[in-house]
Amino acid sequence: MSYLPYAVAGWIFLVGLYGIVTSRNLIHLIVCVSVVQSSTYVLLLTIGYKEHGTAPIFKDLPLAESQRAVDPVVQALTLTDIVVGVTVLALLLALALDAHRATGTLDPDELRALKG
Amino acid sequence: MSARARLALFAAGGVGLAFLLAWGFSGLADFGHYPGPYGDVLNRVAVGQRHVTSVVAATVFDYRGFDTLGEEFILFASAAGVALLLREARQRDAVLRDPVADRTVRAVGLLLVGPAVLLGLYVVAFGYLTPGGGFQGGVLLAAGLVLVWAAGSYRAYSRVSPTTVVDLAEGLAAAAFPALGLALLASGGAFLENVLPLGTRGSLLSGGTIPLLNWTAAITVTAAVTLIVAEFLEELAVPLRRPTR
Amino acid sequence: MDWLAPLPVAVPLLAAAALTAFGQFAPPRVDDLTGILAAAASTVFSALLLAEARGDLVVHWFGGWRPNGGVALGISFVVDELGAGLALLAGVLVTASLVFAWRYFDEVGTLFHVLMLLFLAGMVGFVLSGDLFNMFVFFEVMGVSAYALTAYRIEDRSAVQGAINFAVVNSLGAFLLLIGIALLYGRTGALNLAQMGNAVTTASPDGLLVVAFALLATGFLVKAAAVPFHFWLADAYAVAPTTVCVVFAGVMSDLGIYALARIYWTVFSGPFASEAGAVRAVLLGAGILTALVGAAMCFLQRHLKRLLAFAVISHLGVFLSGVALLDPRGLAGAGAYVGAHGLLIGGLFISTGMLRRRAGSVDELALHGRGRALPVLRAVVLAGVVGLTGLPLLGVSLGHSLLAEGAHEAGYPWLPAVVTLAAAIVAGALLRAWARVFLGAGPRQDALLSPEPEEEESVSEEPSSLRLATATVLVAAGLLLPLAPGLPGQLVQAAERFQDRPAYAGAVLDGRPVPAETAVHVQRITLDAAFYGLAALAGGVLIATMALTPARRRLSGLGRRADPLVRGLRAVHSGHVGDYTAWFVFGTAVLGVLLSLGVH
Repeated sequence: MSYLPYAVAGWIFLVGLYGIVTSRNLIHLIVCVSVVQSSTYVLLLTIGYKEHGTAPIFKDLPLAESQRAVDPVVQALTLTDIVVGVTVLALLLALALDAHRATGTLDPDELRALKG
Repeated sequence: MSARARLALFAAGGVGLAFLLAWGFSGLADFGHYPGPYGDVLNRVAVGQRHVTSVVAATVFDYRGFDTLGEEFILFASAAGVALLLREARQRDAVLRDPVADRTVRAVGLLLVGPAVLLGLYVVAFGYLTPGGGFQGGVLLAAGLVLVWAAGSYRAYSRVSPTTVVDLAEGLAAAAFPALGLALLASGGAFLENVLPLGTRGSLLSGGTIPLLNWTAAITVTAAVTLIVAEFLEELAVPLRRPTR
Repeated sequence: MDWLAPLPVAVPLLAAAALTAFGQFAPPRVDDLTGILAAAASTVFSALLLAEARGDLVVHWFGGWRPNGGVALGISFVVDELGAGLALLAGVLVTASLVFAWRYFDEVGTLFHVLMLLFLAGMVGFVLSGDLFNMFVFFEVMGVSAYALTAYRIEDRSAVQGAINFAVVNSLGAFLLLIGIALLYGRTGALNLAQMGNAVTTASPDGLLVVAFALLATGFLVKAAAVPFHFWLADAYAVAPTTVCVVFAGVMSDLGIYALARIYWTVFSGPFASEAGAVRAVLLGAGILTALVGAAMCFLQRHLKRLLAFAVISHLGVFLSGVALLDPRGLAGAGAYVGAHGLLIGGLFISTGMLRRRAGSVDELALHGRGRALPVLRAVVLAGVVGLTGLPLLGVSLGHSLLAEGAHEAGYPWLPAVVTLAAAIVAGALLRAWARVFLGAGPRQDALLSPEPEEEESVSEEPSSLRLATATVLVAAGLLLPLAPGLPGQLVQAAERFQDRPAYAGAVLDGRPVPAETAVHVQRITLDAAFYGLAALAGGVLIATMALTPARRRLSGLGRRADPLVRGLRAVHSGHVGDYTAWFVFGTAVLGVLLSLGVH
């Protein structure tokens, strides 16, 4: 069972990619990109976990037990990762809006302006 | 390429990728057995070195503060990008058309704005002592402002967050980060070196530059998220110009 | 002098923030000026860093967090000559393009300049960073600004589509980077490149290391547009405004190749040392494939910017091949090539922009003969094309020369011939376009070329002297770059230092100065390289002539046999983001499996 979180991360990654490949709607596609990204959050946080661990907040936790706290670095990395994800999502959605305005459709199959 | 060819290509690649990921992950330590050393070292020394009780905040704003600088500017770039893609394409003279009609919705929503903003401020203020921080609180604050739209109208929202002021706030807060870094560099230290007095552990006045960076991050995030949400909301109120050809 | 290191990144960031805050109150020319000044300042700082990094590494620890007992607590910038050189190139191209864009982007207020400055900061940060996650952060700064800049002409449906393809595929590449970073962090507990390298130096290449390298390499190769991750580049470069294309084509994609080299030499060269031959073979294969596919697609284009985009892809394949040799001369060759190429292609994109403003089109066939009245531009474009192909002693010739030497040392003596073939095809396409536009040669119809939807612009103006001057300066600089005194020797020494892992780790973690290099004698041009360069040029002229004259009918038999290949290539470049993603997944799997088979 100790590999389950890793398997979950891998599954989310692949399922999101499948969603992108088979998507017929740009908004759906963009959300699938977000899904792929969330697999990286799961992976990062899984790596930093300690069994019977607690949060690295030492307000109530005595300093002597500092090694019981889970890894704060992956949490900082995930925080950055989430911000990156949100910003790219916002930009992609704005692009989808522009695409709809310019072509009247959100179907990737219909966006055929760039070929060859 | 036909949809079938695409799917076949993906299937072939997907199987290979699944095996690669499984093989790579198998080399990782078991779940729950983090081997260190980076996290363990920080847990051991951060509170003593910086007098803040949240090691995550110490990591985000001090040890790995330069990453946070980059992250803030990614958000900044996204706000600028969304503005570029949406703001400039609107009909200038369209009529705003979205006030909320239902009085219950309006009442409940407006009542919630206060607590939402207060919660956001709390999360920011104590962010380096307990879970929270500039980014998390900033999003809450922006959400509080969005409640003004949800409970009222876009016009009310844009009065609460006028573009001029938000741009100014965002720019100043974002500028504060590299400016602080450069100032510390000029005074002989390293870029973003934490040289302010460290205060008492566990109190609001602790951490040196950490509270400063915490608040500037909060302002930047609030401003950027407000800008981004405003651009999308304006879509409902003011439709984009139809293309001329 | 390590305080110099943060400056090329911090100054543009500060300027961008200040522009956002105050630009709305200032008169319009202030944005243009601020942008140019900030970019120029960054360029100057990068140049100073390059001088400082001569013979040594400049290491700056942010926040003053020096490493403790080999464990890095903070983030560092580690500046070596090749990285500083790329930062300088980025600064030069952004400054030049902002000068070129004087008054051009007024309608959007400060937004364009803000995004360009952020883009510059992202590129410089990416190349100077010594921490793998920090590299990812700057990769995204670079990415987000680039996606927005690409879609600048939002009224144009192909611009929006190009930006979407760009954003989706590059984001997927970034996610692979994250998984690679997570794997390495899980194994070494570090994010600092030097520390990671130390932690795995004696490890055997097990599944985790191989997969981490494969994923990181793929992520960087997406940015570097290696086949089959290259589809987004042609779309994006074809539709982005010229000002932005100059920077994209000149330096952005090269950064992916630099990063690949950096992580290989700093982290993976230890565990993969005995299997270096396999890594070499796989990466070289990718490089050659990219060079040839890029060249073939280049020849099939009539949209000038798309033509140039595929030329860039082909050249990127050559850079990748140089780096893939895992040899100092190969790396030095790639470096020389990148420098000259960046300047020359920048000049060519500016020229294309001028043609568009003057004649309202970038379609090679529609522009037939329209360039006859522009003698200066005609000369500049010809000089650029010739410089890109390999005129001995000028332009990319130094790159070719060093690459050929590296290929011989690494045991791939046939590589220069393949590179020459790709260069000849690209030259053929470029010369064909030049002749058609500036000489009015050849027929006005050509069934071989892609039927592209036209983007008309109703502006018609004389090429401004400022723009013409910028193009001329860039092309001249690109041509003359190899003549810089001492450059070949310095490049090879820089490459040798780049590949010296223990020295890097010692300098970063212990502050030990890098050991002095023995002087190395490098010829500016060898006889073989001169021969290959001239052969590429001759081949290009031959191909262009055949494309433009009735002699083509004799080749139509050959053409008919190649038709399924052409149709296949065209069908695959569909513009559909789902297709690109499928190729991305497939390519990642293939690259990963090949590396696993070779290294494990």
